[in-house]
Amino acid sequence: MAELVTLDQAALERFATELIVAGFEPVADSDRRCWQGPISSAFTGLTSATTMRLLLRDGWPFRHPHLQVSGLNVEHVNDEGLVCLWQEDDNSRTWMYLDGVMSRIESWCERARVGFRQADHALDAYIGFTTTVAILAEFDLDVLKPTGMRDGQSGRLHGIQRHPSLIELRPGTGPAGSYRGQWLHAGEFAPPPRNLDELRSLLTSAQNGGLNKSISRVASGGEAEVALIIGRRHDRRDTLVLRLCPDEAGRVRVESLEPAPTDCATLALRAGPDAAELGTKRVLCFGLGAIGSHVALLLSESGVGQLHLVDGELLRPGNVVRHAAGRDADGLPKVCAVETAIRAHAPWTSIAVTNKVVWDTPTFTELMKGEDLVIDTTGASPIVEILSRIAEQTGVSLISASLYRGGAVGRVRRQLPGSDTSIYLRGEDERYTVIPSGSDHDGDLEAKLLEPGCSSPINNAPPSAVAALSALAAQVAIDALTGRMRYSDEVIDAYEPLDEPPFDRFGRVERN
Amino acid sequence: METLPGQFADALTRIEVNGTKHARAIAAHLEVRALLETSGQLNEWGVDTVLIGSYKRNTGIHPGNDVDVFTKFTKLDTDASPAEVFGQVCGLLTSHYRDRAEPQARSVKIRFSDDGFSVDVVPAVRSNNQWAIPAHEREVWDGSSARWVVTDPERLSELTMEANKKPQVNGQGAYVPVVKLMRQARKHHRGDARPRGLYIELATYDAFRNGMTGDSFAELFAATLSAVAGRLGTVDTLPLIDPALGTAYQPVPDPDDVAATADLFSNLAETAARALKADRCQAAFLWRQVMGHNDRGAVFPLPPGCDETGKEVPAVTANRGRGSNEARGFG
Repeated sequence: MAELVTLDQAALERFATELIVAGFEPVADSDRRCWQGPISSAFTGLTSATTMRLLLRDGWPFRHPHLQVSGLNVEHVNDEGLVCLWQEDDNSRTWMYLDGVMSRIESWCERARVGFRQADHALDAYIGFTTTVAILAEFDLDVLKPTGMRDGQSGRLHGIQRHPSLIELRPGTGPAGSYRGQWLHAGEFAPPPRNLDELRSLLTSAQNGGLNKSISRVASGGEAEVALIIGRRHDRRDTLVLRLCPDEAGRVRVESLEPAPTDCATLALRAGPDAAELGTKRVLCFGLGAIGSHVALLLSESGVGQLHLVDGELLRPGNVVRHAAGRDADGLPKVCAVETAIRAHAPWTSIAVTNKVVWDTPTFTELMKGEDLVIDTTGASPIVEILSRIAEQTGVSLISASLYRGGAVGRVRRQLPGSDTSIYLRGEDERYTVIPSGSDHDGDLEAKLLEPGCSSPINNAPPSAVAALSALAAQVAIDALTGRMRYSDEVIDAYEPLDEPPFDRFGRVERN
Repeated sequence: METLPGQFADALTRIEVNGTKHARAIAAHLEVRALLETSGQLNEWGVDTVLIGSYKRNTGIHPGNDVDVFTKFTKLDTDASPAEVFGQVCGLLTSHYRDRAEPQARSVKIRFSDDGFSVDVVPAVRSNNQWAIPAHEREVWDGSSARWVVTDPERLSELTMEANKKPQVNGQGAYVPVVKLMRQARKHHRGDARPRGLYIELATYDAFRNGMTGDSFAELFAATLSAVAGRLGTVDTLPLIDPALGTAYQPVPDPDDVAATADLFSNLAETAARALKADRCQAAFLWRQVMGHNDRGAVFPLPPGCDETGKEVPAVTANRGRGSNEARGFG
């Protein structure tokens, strides 16, 4: 162990002095990272231990220390007695002083007695069996047991090692080379088991029998096996994945893998607060280039239920610099490349694709039928004109997003039936700011950049502008889809100031 | 003058023996005393124990693993056989503590824990108004007049308390803290080399007896380093006196060892003098060189906003106002 190197050595030495005054001493061979001292009286009744240890970690004082107390049998403590007092990203730095640590210990002990809060689950990032390995175990419980799992049940599964740090758990027996395994539904998980003995106490005799057989197979020279344990903790599903491995001494080493559920409900936890509402929406996307691909992906990730992607071009290697798809999609129709990206990110979104260039009115009208929103990111003003008029006729909402002047300016226009001025009418409306074409270098630059062998001019808008406008377009779209309407019907941002006012400063350009 | 009083106070804390060890020393002493009193022979000899050494004088420094238990036999004098007295004590202790008891030249060391904490039990008999302990060399234990060596550890404890009355720093006796700082400097720079801590303590006593002035630990420590360096340079012609006995300190340390220690303290005194004239961070840097470190880290802690090279750096403070409620970033 190397001595702690900190950006404030004086603060560390002051804290160490406080520890010494309180009766703490550095633990031998810990390079003063681990200090042992008399246990806080707050632990009375929770453990019979007489000492506790503070573990100072790299990053101190910006990163909090860990506390180690033996004999605790409560939640948020792992098998080694590690107590996490603060969330990993806590910025209070109250642990710089011993009274801050002791005060936190008192709060923690109080919660250990009366029950932890829902928010305290964030303390648990590292809690689990003592031996934790950096391997994800992916599973979808609905796939493992489509009819649902109940307490006391168990079943076969197998694990496929996708790469060194990923094992995918699948139902039933697997092919040669896969992990043999089982799932065990254990019921209540409070506190979660931290070792095999605690786990066994949660299992039925039949489940214990299955687990013991697995252990026996491994102990008698068999291959490593996996076990997925499912339980409930404070009315929420909790899981534990163990890998049973033979060690050199002929014993079984139990490793805790990192559970990684892949069901839509789990993935949707990161989709934002509008996911449920957006799940009922249909969006038609015209143009799946740089901006369109990101907008479509963002909308699907945010929970949109159905997307129809329309574009007639193939994805070129040069496109991927700013595109949501990568080089592995070279040569695919852009709609297919984006569809693949969306399936990998947001499996809840159903996707339809139209791989062709559309110019005829009937097709536009047919495509827009039944859609909650049409998004244009073609960057082609004729298309916008057509879409605006048909959207007005058919009563469909339209959003159009485009970058201008080499990516210096981005604009998102919204056309809601019955409230917003139709986009095709705004050219003559003084309330709407005109983005000047510019006279020299930026316009010429756009025109001059040509990719060898390709006739389409390249707009050299930077990827950061593409990302910024894509995010803005997605936010305006979600604002419209949820009916909040907090954006105005035309939003313009200057990412790079131009000579002409009002585009001569960074940020949002107010409407006339 | 930058005297860094807060850092000196913390430095003294960082060389202080852990409070629980004091309690363990007392408990170990009582345990040994109770055991010795179970012996009819030892009771007949008038066994009586007392804690002595740096623990008693409070001049010990971290880790403070050695506790001396002075085992007085009030009904024996130097007519008694050291071999018989030591044999009785050693036999009782080794039969009780078994492999935890390790006979030394004239004492028995009893290991009380795996962290190095141990007790040295030293038998003693009366020698007029003082006490005598067996000679270090066992070959003289039979018949020689040198088989007992006169000592008076309790008197030294009294003299220490007396010396600690003045000068004072902020109402606290300065002598004992300065002894600790001197012992720490010696221990860091000289390690197991002789002369050891007691010799430096006596040299410090000598310096204080000759007058030591200063309003801060920084000034007093700097002055003591200089005085002791000078005194060690004269001990070959003017031996250091054991104040409890009023005679030259025995055993006389090797002159080369004393000379090396004198050079060390002379250099440390120069560093200390520079520290007194330096700014806050540079002064701390210099005092760190003088005091070195122990297993708790650097003995002299850095003042807020100073780094280990003596430069000013921005200090990190706690974010108590916003506490843990500040909005979390996400990336």
